[in-house]
Amino acid sequence: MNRTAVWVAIPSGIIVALFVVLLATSESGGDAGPGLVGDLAPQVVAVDASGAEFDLDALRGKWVVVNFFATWCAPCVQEHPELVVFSETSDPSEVAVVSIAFNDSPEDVADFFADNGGDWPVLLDESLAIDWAVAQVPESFIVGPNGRVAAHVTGGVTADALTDAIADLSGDR
Amino acid sequence: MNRRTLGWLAALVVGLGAFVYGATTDGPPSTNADRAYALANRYACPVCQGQSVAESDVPIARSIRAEIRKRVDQGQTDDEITAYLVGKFPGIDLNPSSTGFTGLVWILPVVVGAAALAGLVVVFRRWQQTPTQSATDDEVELVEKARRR
Repeated sequence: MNRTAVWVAIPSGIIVALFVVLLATSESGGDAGPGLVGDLAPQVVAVDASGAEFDLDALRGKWVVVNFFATWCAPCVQEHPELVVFSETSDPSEVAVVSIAFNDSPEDVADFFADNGGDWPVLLDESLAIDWAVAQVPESFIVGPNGRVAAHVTGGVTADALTDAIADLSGDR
Repeated sequence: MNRRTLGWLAALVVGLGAFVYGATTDGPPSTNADRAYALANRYACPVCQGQSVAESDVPIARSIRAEIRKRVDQGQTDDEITAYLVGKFPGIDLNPSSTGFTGLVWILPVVVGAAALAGLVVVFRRWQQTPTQSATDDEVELVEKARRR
C-alpha cells in the first residue's frame, strides 16, 4: 500500500468509525417519556363532562389519582371497576380521582360512565395527555398532597394496588 | 487559464451558488396547515416504529398533530413547539441537534464532500501533468525505424 492510500484510508476509517459511534449512541425516536415522578404535577384546569370547573391545584392536601383512559381501550374498560371500588372505599377527605379521556368523544365518555359507574370528574381536554406525556392508555399518576407526582403507573390499576401505593407513599405502613 | 477551464469554473460557481441559495433561502410563507404538517413530519410517533407523527394514525399521533396545530395557530415558533414536545417525549425530534456531538452529523458530510472534491482535483491534475522527460535521439530514431517498416 503506498503512502497516499494510507493517508486516505486513515481519515476515512476515522470518519466511518465516528459515524458508527454516533449512530450507536444517539437516541432513537419513540423513546419513553421523561417521567414526571418528583415533579410538580402539570396544570389541570378544565371544564369537566358535567360542565363544572376543575382545577387540580384545588385538591392540594389530598392524594389524587389522575387516570388517563379511553372508552375504546380494552384495558381501560377492564380497570374501570377497580377505580370505582377504589373511589367508593377511599376517604373523600383524603383521596380524589379524576379521569382524563384520551382521543374520545363526550358522548361515548358519558355513556361509558353511565354504564360502568364512577362519579368523579371526567375531563376531555386532548392537550392534557401531552402535558402529562401520556402516549398510551391506560396510564395513571398519583399526585401527592404537596402537588407533586408521587407515582406513575402504566397499564391498568387495581383498587388494592392504589390503596397500597398511597399507604406506602404517605408512610402509613 | 484557458477557456475550457474558465467554463468549468463558471459552471462550478453557478452550481454552488444555486445550491447555497436553495439551501439557505426560505420559501414563500407557508400557511399554518403547511407549517403544522411540516412540523408533524419532523417528530417521531412516540409509540410507533419508524413512523412520523404526520404518518401515523395512532391516538397519540393524532393528539400531537392537534397540539401542533393549536400551537401554530397561537403563533408559537417552531423552536418553541419543538422544545415543548421534546420536553414531554425525549427523542421525538427526528432532526439531529446541530450542537454537541450530534452536530457531527451535519459537519461530517461537508468535510467528506470537501475531501472528496480535493482528492478529485489532485487526481485530475496528476493525469493532466505532461511527462518531464523527453525521448532521446536514439529512442526517436528507434521509433522512426519501426514506423518505416
